[in-house]
Order: sequence, then structure tokens, then C-alpha cells
Amino acid sequence: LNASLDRVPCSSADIANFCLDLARSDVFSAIGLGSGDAQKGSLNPHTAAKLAEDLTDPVRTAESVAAALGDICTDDLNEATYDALAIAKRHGIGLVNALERAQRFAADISRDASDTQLSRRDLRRNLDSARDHSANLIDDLGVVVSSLVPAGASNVGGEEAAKRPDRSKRVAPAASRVLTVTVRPLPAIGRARYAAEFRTELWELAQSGASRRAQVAYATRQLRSAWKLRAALRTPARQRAGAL
Amino acid sequence: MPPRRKSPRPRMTIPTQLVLRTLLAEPAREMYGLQICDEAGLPSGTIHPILARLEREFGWLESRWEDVVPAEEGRPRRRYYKLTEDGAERSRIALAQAATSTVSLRLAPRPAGGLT
Repeated sequence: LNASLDRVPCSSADIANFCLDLARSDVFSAIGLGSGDAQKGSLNPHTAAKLAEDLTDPVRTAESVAAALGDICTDDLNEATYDALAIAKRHGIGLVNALERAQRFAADISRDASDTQLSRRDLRRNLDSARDHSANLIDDLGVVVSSLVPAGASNVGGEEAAKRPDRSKRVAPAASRVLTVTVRPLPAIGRARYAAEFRTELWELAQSGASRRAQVAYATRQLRSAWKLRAALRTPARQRAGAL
Repeated sequence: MPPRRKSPRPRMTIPTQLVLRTLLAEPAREMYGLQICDEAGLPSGTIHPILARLEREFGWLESRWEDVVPAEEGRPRRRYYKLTEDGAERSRIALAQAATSTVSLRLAPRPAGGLT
């Protein structure tokens, strides 16, 4: 991941590609893993349920990218936004296709597995949720594309650029959106705290002159470690008095 | 099956060691997240899960919001982290043990190289 982040792209299209590729590869690897297990007959209900839960994770990532794209593109109307969004939309459609395959795969598991009704219900519910998320993603991207293309086409003059405020030391809205999604999987007990903490850090980064690209990279790193943080926060707190 | 017994100390991964060394450099000093990242030489995103474990699961750390009014200061509040007294002591021991095991691992396979 660090190697990937060293190559964090700088244009809207590259950022869209980068994040959506991450999401899509996660989906495909999850599906591949599950399919392999199912063929070997070794997939148990817990693994299946976990797999379904994992599938919702990359979709959340993709969702955050979709939200962030709006800001990126609003900031960069002169930077070929139409191309960026078209690419993002194409990737989003790939994501939906992958999730539909996952849905079929889940149906197969439900037929074949001799597990409990509860696990099957969880699996189906998670996959339905994943598919709904991805469908929303496509809708959002479609809306952003249709609303931004005319604006982008009419906003290529130098005067507009001259009027633009100095964006240095400003928190990148795209990074801010990614952080909003980052705290979603955290337990309620730590969500507000980490939301505030990440936003403070992002603000500090912006004040230190970090570029929008660096800010998005920061937020993406936090997003990628959100599940580790969630695990840490879900561990029961140790009894302090004399426990150590 | 009996429940697995929790270790009394965190897994001493390299990032965990770097975070602890950074905090131990001045145990009484409070540091915020980005500062710890910078001084430990770790990328952002690495340290918060570590800090959360050290604080919540092991009680080696304590944290608090900076005592300022954001509107007056013109900036958001920082979250400061500091080793507890007990945590500092345990960190030293854990780091020493980690260093010992690293040294023994390194020396074992190649006793040559100057040893007489």
C-alpha cells in the first residue's frame, strides 16, 4: 500500500482510477477467495458471512470516492472532469457487475450449505446492502457527470481562474469527505472523537502547506486503516486499577 | 475450549516499538498524532490503531483534548497523548525485551564475523 501511495496520482481522473481500482480489486479478490472455498466445499457459514461483510467494505470505499469526486471536480473544472467522471463511472459499473456475481455466488452458497438460516440471512442481507451501495454509487456518479459537464464546458476562461481564491492552506474537500466515510465503521464510542481528531490532523496538514494530493493521500491512509482502528476500539477496555 | 488468555503487553511490532520509543524520549511530554507520526517516521494511518490499543486495551497511554477554545485560537483542538507512569515503565521493559530477542535472533545464525 505504501508503495502505491508513493505513486498517488495528481489529476482527478487518476485519483478516481486509483481509489476505484482499490475498491474493485478488493471485491474481486473477496469473490475469488469465496468461490475457491465453495468449490472445495470448505466454505462454512461464518466464512460466508464474513465474506459478505468484507464485500461491503470496498463498496464503502467506492462510495467515499464518489462523494469526493464531486468536490475534486468542482475544484478542477478545467481539468478534464468529464473524462475523470466517465472513467469513474465505468469503474463503478464494473463494481456493480462484480457485486452481482457475488450475489449469485451467495445464492449458490445458500442452496448448497447446510448451515443455519441465520447465517444465510446475514449473508444475503450484507450482499443486498453491498449491491444497494454500489447502485447508489452509480446513480451519484451519473448525477455528477450530467451536472458538471455543461459547467465544465463553459468554464474554461482565464478570468474565472484569475478570480479563484488562493487555495493554499485550505483543507481539501475531497480529503474531508473521505474522512467522513473513514469514521463510519468505527464503534459509536469512538466515532465522534476520531472524526474530530482526523479533522484536526487534516487541518494541520493543510496549514503546513500540504497539497490537495497529499491531503487525499493522508485521508486514504486513514481509510485503509479504519478497520484496524475499529478492531482496536472493539476490544474490551482493560480494568485500570491494579490490572497491570 | 477455554478462552485464549490475553497477553499482558502489546505485540511489539516495529511500528509499535517506534511509537513507544518516540513517547519514551520525553515521557512527561504530551504529543499529538501527527507529531508522533513525524517523530516516529511512520506514515499517517499507522499510529491510531496502535495508540488505541495502547490506551484502551493496555492502559499504557492516556489522552486528552487540548484545553483551548477553537474559536479564539483559530484552529481545532488537538488530541494529546502521553504515557502513564506505569505505561512508561512497562514500555521500557517491553522495548528492552524486544531488543534482546532481536539481538539474539540476529546473532544466532552467524556466530562468525569477528567472534574469537
